[in-house]
Amino acid sequence: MSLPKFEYLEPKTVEEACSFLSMYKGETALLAGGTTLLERMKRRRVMPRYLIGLKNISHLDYIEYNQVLRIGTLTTLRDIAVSPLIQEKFDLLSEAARFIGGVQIQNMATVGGNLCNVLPADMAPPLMVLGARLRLVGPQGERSVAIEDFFTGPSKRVRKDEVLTEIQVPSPPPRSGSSYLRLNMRTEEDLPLVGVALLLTQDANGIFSEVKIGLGSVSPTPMRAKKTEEFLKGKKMEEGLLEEAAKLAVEETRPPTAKVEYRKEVTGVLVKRALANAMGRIK
Amino acid sequence: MSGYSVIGRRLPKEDAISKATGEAKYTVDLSFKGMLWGKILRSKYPHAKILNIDTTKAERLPGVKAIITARDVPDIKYGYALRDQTIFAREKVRHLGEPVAAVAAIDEETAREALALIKVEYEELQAIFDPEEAMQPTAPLIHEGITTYETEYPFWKPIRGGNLCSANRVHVGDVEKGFKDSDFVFEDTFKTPMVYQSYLEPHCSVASFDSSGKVTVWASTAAPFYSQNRLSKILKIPMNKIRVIAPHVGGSHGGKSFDLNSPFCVLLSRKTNRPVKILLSREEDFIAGTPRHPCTIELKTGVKKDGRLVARHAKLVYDTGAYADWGPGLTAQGFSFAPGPYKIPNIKVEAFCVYTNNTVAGSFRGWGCPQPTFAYESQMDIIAAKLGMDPLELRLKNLQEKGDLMVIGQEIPSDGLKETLLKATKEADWKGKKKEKQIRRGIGMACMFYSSGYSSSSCFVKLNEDGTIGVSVGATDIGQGSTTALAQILAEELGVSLEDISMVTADTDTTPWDYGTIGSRCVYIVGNAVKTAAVDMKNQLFQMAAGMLEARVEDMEAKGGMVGVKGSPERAIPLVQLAILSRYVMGGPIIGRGSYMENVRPVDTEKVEGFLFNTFPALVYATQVAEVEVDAETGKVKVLNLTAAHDCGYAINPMSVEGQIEGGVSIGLGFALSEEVLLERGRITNPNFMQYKIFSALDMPKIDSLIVEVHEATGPFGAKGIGEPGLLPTAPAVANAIYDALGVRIKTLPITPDKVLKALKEKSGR
Amino acid sequence: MKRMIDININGEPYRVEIEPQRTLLEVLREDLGLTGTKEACGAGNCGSCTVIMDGKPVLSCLVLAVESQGKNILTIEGLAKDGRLHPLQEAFIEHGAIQCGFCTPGMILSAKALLDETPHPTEGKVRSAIAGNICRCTGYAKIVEAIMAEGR
Repeated sequence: MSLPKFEYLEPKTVEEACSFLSMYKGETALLAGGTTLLERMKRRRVMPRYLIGLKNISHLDYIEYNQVLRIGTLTTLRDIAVSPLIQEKFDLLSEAARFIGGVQIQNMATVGGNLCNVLPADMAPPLMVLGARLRLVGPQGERSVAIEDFFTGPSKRVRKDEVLTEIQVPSPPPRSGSSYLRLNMRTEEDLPLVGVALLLTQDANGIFSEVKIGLGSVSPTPMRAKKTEEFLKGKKMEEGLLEEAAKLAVEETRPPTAKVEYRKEVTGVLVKRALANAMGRIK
Repeated sequence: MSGYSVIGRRLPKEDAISKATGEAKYTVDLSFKGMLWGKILRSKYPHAKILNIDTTKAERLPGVKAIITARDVPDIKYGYALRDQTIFAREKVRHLGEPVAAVAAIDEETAREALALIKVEYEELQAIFDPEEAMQPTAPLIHEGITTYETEYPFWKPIRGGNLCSANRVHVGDVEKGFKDSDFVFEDTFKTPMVYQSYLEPHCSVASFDSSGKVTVWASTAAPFYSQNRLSKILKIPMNKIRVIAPHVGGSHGGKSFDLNSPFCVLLSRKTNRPVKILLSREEDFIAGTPRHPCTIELKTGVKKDGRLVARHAKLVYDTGAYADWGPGLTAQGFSFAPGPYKIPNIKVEAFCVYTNNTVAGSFRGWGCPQPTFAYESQMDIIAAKLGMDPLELRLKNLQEKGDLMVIGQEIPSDGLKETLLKATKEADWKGKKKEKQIRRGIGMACMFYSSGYSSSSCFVKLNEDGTIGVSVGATDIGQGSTTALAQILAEELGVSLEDISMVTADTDTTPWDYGTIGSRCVYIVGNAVKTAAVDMKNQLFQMAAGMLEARVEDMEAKGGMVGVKGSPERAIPLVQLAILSRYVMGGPIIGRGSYMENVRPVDTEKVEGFLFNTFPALVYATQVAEVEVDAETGKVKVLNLTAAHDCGYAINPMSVEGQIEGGVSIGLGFALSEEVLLERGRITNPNFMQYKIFSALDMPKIDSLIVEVHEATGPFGAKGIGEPGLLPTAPAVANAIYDALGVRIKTLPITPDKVLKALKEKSGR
Repeated sequence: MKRMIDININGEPYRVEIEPQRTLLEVLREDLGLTGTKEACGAGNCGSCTVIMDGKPVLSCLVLAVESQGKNILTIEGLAKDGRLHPLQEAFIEHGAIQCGFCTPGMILSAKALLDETPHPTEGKVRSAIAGNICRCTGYAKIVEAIMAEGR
């Protein structure tokens, strides 16, 4: 299967990439890992005249930590999955990254690409739950956006003339535990049907001081189950609490397509399990 | 079996090295000087009249070298059983994806652009996608000429009409009386989906004419002689002017019984005088290929309270799509095995092969039988549960024995099935696992019988000047290891080592005719031909050597590269010596020849209506036991262990036999749990490996492959086939295991988690 | 617009003139005659086009040839050295892990990448490492056996 013809542009800096975006407005696409864009182009779903290759821009592929985790947009999912630093301090992210595709896809796909494409976007729920912020660079300069505000609708991620350059993730509060669970449609190596990311913080008396629940594939965009979070906040683990939370989470979902009832049902199950897991991992 | 030197050994395949290094060339890898890219324009509608095809714009596109449509081809229909198909649609299209035109251009992009410039005017017709609806008298006709189509089998009296492509009927005993005599009557309907062979190398052909007007075709096919035959018939080219070669084939699993592209390649090559290659994209292969027939099976069974089966009425409806293809054949196959391998005094079977405007369905490993096997083995457990009997005991109580008859009148030749039942359940610790029931875990079993072998084959063997051997055999190795197994048979017979043999295969110019690699027939039928050729050569060698050694022919043996007197190692002549002598002194170069014809009997078509075959050359048996773990909250099923006991007569190469079982199991598991071609008004909505999921290494359970060897008297060294059975018992074994774990019975494949969860909810009344 | 790229493939430097829309897979197979790397789907779902690029297994059908500029690529043709097979190739052959062989090049390279990183993997790790390589013929049983045998 061949790709349609295009011109390949190799900016050396993010600013140069932005200027290309403006110059060839509407006819461009940014190329990061290529696992989504190139596949779509082969199917002739999108046919940009210009492909702006980001890989030659230096300093977009890094994992750094200094109270705040900073991940460069071109960091591969594989690097996130195996990073000892992320596994130790932000395990939610490495758990989620490990689910995505086989080793080859993980070696190619980037976290920036995963967030910017209209995809099940596995990395979004865990990043939402951790309160990530995205750094976007455009012709007007830089701006920092809370990740929830990034998903303004199923197809709107970022302004057409901006480049996502970095994801900043604050450290989870002390006494936190997290869990990422995912159920696939059919097989182990498959598209997700439901993804649940959960961050739980408990105080010294066992009260849930903070609960963050991110859901993927059960609504038009990745979402936070805010009502469920509200319900759990301030409560203590007790009989029936998890079932109640699961029910609420199910009500919050708005699955867009096939197997709607099943997706809703499973969301509840995964939320329950993620809560239990997270509790067991509190340190 | 000890006493053999080459067969029965786990030898690596002769092509393994070239495949491991990337050296092996498949049709997709071939490239020739001046080669053009061909592409096929396919119908956009499932059922429509073709009013006009305008190729003028496309013809003017620079780089386009030729365009062909139906007017470039003689109006000749073809088909495996029923001649109802033409290579281009004529007058109307009957399915989405039916070829309407083809182009040859200098590169793929130009060919693609050219297709977009061809203007086809259609007039949509009412389309039909459900076979039950298609069988109604008011349904729109898909093949107006159905009753006039010629058949490939002269003695076949097809039952056909309307949208019914073919049907089979038989009634043994009296089922209505049987049901009245029963203590319990079970009625269940089972549904199986369309599934796709998923061979990794897509369909691909290259054709090239030489200046004498002879065309060579390289094709990814399991049956090069069939390609040659079809090309000759429909393009009116004599066979000696058509050479078809199958290079290494990247899998077939039934789907390459006919290579889809060669007619277009040949026509385009003739028109342009250049080699033309057509390679289907994966998406196109889904659409243009011939996946397995979706099927609905209604099974009504009467039993006595002690578990004896008294009566069975099976009705099978196969959706064959727009054209017959292999439909009538595999419908008859499924029909034959539909009652299951059980003693049932009253049996009625009706099988219908129905046209719809869906994708053409065709040959896929198992040939019409995975569907009824799923039905009858699921129902056995439904019966066992109701009667409170162990599923194994119920089966043993009713199993057919040697001498019993199938509904088509064929005799069961052995008790091989019982051996597989006992071996599989013992190895899987059936009794133990049933006793100590673990929560969320279940164990289920299923057995099956099926056929091996079809038609005939032939082989030539020659003795090289240095005593090594050259073999020419038409059989195509599609990865299953037939070439190596056949070489092992030859080496054993001639008393040489495997290294002394080199084989030429699958080339219509240089190898003798073979039916094709389908129907689990290579080791069995072709093996017999190879063995016959070896014996023929051996006899000639014995004649020569006996004369020289002053011994009797009956006392000779071929061993260790020599021919000599049994028991007298000093009285032996090396093959090289006989080779030289034959060339320069007496008789001429030694050539062995062998032809083998299946050993079958006609079926009484007065009783077995609409049947088109004879009896089956051999029967094969298997039992599989699946252990599953289910998540009752999500319905997710994980298969932990799969024990598979398969009777293959004798394992010429046990490593290859296991490989066939294990591969079959992975396909059976996909059939059971994850695979489904989704059709929406005739359009495949998931024609890719992202949305059509076959099992990956992470999904597979541990597989215990057990080879059972019940000597097959008609097979070479007692061997018979193993290619297909691996996937037949798997789905019902899994479904039965799920029932054992959760008490829910799913009768529609694939058993996806949402179906399990829904069934659990219904069971608990929520 | 065509451009020149320099890639190192199997230890040899290559210079090819290509258009930007060519994938690495196409250049390997069509321009350089290295047909060992296969295309079973072209969409990143099957793994048959796996090559090792700068030490990591990637899907060459979704890598633009221009992006492989300056990189070190290992294809199946580069495994055997001086006519001697790589131990993994031998293991696949001995254990009957090859049937039709179309998945084999990609599968062996994924296995090599695993063993280079984790010389003694568990069976679970082996299955994860080849989860992106589909095989329709073998059921993966002997493939896993071969890789485990090599990893011991």
